[in-house]
Amino acid sequence: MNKKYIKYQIKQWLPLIGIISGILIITLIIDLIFSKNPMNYHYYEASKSNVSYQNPLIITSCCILCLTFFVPLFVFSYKYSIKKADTYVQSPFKNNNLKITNFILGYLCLALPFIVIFLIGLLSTYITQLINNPYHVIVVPQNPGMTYYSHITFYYNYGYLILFMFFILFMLFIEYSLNSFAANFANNTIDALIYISLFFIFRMLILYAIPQYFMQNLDIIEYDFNIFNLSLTIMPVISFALTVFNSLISRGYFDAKDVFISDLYKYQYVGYVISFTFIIMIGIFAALYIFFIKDKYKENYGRKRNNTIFDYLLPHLTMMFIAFSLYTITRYDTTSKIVIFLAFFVMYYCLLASLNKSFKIKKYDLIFGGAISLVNFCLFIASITIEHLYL
Amino acid sequence: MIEVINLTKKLDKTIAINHLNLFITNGIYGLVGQNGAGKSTLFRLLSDVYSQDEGEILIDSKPNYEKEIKSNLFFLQDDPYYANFSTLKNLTEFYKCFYEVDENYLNYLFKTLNLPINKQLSSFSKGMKRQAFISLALSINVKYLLLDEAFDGIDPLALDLIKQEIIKKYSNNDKTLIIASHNIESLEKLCDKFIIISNGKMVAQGDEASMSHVFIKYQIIFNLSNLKLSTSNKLYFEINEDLFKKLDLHVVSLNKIGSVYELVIKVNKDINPYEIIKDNLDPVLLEEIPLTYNEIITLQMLDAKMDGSKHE
Repeated sequence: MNKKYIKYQIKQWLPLIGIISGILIITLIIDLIFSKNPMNYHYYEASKSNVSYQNPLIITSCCILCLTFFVPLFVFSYKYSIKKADTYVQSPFKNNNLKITNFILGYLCLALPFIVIFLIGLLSTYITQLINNPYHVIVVPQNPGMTYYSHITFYYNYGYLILFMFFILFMLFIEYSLNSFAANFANNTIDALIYISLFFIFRMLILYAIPQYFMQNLDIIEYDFNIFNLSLTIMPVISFALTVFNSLISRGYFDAKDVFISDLYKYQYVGYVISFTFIIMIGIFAALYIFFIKDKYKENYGRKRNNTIFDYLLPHLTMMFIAFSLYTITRYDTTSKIVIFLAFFVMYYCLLASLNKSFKIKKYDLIFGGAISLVNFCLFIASITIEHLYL
Repeated sequence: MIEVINLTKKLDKTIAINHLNLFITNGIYGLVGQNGAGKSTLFRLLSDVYSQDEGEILIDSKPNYEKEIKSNLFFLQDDPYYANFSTLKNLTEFYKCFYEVDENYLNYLFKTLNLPINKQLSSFSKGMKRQAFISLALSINVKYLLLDEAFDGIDPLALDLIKQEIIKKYSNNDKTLIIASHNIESLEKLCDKFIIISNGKMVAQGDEASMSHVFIKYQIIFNLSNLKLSTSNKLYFEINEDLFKKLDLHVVSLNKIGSVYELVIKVNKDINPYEIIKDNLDPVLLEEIPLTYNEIITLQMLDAKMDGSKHE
């Protein structure tokens, strides 16, 4: 490792670290406003066996995971301009060391502000709980005739909160590696954004499909695939974290044994656990790829990519994603089906225009786009018809 | 010592470097060729910015991608990168991360060239930026320095000063400097050896002595009435390159200044051009005149271009 370079790069990325810290401070304030609320009482019906508890720093934790989308753009920026590539690539680094150094520094840019702000948040929550009030859960009667009320007071388990922080740091590394893996293949910033988004969509489709498969097969919850369900970036991660940690975080040290872990095997969480394992595995693969595989075709750095089959695949995948997200609307409505077909084509045109950086699209591309839209539409209609008839 | 063996590089569908062989020792080299000849690509290959498709690059008998070799070679591109809002001080700091920079010498150059150290580089003129980067390149202690179109936009006073510094640093020691340019005048009184490339292939390499016997330049005055008779009594006669080509002469250039023609032909050991012209065209004046070094280089490029268009 080149110490002088590390020092220089940290100096260069100080504004980036500042922005990350600023965003985290805002989310921390939001988190603290919620946990400091004197009306911090949560009501549950007595019939509910599971009471969910609020993690005091969940927004900050989710936010840092979302920021992994943008940091790889800075990490690999030396590839995204011809001038920069000429300067950086010729510099005397051994093998892959430039990429590895930038990758590690990028992770530190995310992790260090997070650790500091998380610990500040933890301290602040601790002081608040000492002075003000703990987290209250009031279990209200199920039947109006009953008069039984139960008032449970919880103090956060700070040991588990620190464990939660380490868990988020680990997941931060996984998410950051996955997004960096996608950005590593790009030669300019626009391509990098497209690759990261595409890899995210692809990942989400797989990761969401796994829990859905288990839900469907266990016959517990009705199969429903909707875009709004996919709103969280790292849904399996968050779900897993919320499921396992929230119960631990909110309990006292002595009754921590009574947790939800047993429930994991009963419900749809089996799917989440599998997707969680899957995301960790591909995340580790992504990190290993960045560490050990040397870049080829360095002459393409900073240049516009030639249109490849990938460019046709991108609109195709994106359209499929949007079509399936509109699944519930389209199921019975003919007008929606026509709109979906037109939307396919418009989507295709917009994505191709942004890839080519021009609104003038070749005739061949338009014909090809029309054909792809039609195939997409047929696949989509076929899939919903089969599902409607047989599932 | 730089050895380039059978080097080939394709960029998209164009062959930028085509089976190039080079052998470079110490001294100041001028790498010349027309636009798109492959000069910058060659530099990028030498400095490991690009990887070759075929062939080998050995620097001091080691592959050019080794860290030890890379830290001993610096390539200054024609439009170098600098971070936003950076000053000369920041730029020096950046290069100090990778190379050994002689700061005293650098400050001396900045002072001599009147370059403000704490002013943002974005506010510099094109020439000032060039001066700043050349100063930096000269202050970096490397054995091999590659400058790509380094003198574009520099005023003559600063250029003279920079040339003097280059000669001080790079002649008569074990260092190598290669300056790529399509403008041969800018390399005047600087390079002792030249490499001429065209369409990614090497056309010629050597010093003034080895290149001076390639072409001959004649000053000719014709008596047109004699000429008409000697060329099968044609009513209309024009003196052009074809006339000389018919006489089996390899014409590289033919210019007319007043009534005087300046003819440059490539030397062919089997024929005596002086005798051929005298016998066939009976000129009033036929005199060999010396070629300058710059003219020889230009003629090499011109000849290579003509060869290239013939093959196409």
